[in-house]
Amino acid sequence: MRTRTLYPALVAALALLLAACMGDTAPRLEGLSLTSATIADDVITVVGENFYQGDASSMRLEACGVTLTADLVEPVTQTLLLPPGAKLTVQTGDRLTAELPAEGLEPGVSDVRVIRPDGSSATLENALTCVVAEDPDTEGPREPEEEPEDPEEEPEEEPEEEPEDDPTLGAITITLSPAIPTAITITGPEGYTHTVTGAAELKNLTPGEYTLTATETTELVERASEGTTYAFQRIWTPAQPTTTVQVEADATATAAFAFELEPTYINIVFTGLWDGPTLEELWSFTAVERLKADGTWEATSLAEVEGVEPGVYRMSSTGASRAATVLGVSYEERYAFTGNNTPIAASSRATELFTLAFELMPGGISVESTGLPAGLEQEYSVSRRTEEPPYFEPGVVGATELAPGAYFLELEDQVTSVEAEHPDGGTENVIHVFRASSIAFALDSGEHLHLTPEYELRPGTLRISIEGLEETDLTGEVAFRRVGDTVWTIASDDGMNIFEVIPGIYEVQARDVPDPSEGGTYHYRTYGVSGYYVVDSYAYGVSDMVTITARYHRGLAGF
Amino acid sequence: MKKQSACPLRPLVVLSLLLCGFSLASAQGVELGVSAYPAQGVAAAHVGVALFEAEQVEHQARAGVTYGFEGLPALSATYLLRDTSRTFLATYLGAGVGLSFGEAPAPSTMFSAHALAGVRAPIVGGLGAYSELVVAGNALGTSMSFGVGLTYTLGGMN
Repeated sequence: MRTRTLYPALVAALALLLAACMGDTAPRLEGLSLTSATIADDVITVVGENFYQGDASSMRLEACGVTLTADLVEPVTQTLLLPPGAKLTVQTGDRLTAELPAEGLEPGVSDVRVIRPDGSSATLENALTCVVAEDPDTEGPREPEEEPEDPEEEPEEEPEEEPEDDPTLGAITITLSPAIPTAITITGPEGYTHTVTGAAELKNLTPGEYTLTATETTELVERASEGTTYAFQRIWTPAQPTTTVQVEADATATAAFAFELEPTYINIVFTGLWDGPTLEELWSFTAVERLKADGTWEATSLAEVEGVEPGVYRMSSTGASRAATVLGVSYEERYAFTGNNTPIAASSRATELFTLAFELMPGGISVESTGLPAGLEQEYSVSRRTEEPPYFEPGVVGATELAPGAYFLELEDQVTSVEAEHPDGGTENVIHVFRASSIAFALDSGEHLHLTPEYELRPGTLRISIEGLEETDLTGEVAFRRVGDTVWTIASDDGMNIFEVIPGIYEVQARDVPDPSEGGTYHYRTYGVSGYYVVDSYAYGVSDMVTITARYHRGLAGF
Repeated sequence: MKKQSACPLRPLVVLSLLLCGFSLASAQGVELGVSAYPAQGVAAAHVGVALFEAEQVEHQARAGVTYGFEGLPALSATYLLRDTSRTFLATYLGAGVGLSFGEAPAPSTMFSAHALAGVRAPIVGGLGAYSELVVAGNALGTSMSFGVGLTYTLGGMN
């Protein structure tokens, strides 16, 4: 029995333990944000996102020095299971309203704070201009910070008490959108004139026509970031500076003023980029940020360059790039951002200038040739290709850093003389020319190319012209070989025989050709052909071809 | 950043679920139940496991799933104390925790707690009927619900 009396207590203890667990399990809700807040007829309307309230819990609203219970307007209902056997109704929405009390309000510009049932909240700064009750001792409403006329007055007089509304008089409610502390001048019958700051409600007005005039207002705004404070001006202009309302007895007329923010103008100059970038290209690699009131930066756009909201802006870039083509060869140009992102405070009607400087990033080449004998060094030049004739820019000798583009690498011929032993004694100089082919290449920004051209020894040209056998069926026989070789090469065709040979000293023999007619009595022979010839590498302007003319003459054999 | 809850009951809930599993394996003292909460439009099913009995009080762990015919089901775990001195209209008390899954802007998971009191009557064999009153609440509100259901105890009435 003792246990039976104990077990409800055990359950109660368990429930208390559960309740303790619930204490730190507040829900994580979607972010709450506020967009705008307005006052009309003593009702505050707030627009935002992710308002909600549960079955028995409402949202709260703090404004004008008071805390109010707010109701969702046009709520969307959602149910949430409450296991093991119940449901909760949760209402969500994006607008809420709260009715201001008649007393306890603090006049002047006020923040609006919305608090959800779980305690999370969001604040809209300087969102409303709160109006106090009318002072019966003056024509217009009491100034927000006005002190009692006589602080020594007896407390029993209750100076805060609202006067009785006179049913023969009327009222005007002035609303401003947005709620800015600007001056509104009201003129009316019987020389009535009064000025209020911000939204207001004027009571006990003589019926008649009243003219309300709003003027342009300049607001000095300061924003701070990373220890630096930036100041700029916001100029608000009324969309309709003057409005007229008709005040009737025991009725409230409404005068609404809408203000427009005068924009700022930002010019942006891009330097160092290619010719004619499009706006889309420019924005694609440019970041714009605006300083928020809390000191953080938010990404924004200056695409509407003709007038943007005044504020503190900064621009930056991670660099630009584009694919370019010249004569069908593609390469990439990359541009480094060399400017700075110093913020600029831009005021209404002012024109500010951002200069975004870029620098084309070069590429690099190194050239390492092969095939040159010791003592000779490569010499090269690089010519950039262009779209227009002559399709090349002048070559740059020995360049290693180049702008991105399409190029030709050209190597200078290298010439040297080599001493060769002459069979007749002594030595002869033989010219050797080394030549390398040009290399075409495309170079991207930031790219390094290692080019390896190959020099080759240019051959000599030996031309042997055989004449005098044209009228016969015979062929010539002019043999040649390089000194030191054992194999002869034979030139036999009528006319010019052209041979490309290794540069050196060549032995040439023009051999007799027997004429088989008439019993072999005659031979064809040449004169002054046989001998030694120096054959240089052939290069135009450097060395010549060697030309040998073997003219055969018919004569008796043995002579 | 929300601080994580350091609820000491989590090990207890896990232990209860494990005990449920062990008991299911042996099919001894396992109770299966379905119930309805007509005023709320909610149906539920549960598995209960008798842990031990001391001085005419049975200690039972119950794991349940709740469905409201929209959205996602919710889960619950309950610890029960049942009076076994009476075979007809045996009363029980319990308390537990629940987990429900909402849609934005409500949190995707919400923790709740509940306490309940019920009465159970045998019908035939292991089959019985029960009704219970549940009070549950979470950070958004509280609710009281009344449910009726049927249970079946594997291995016969206990």
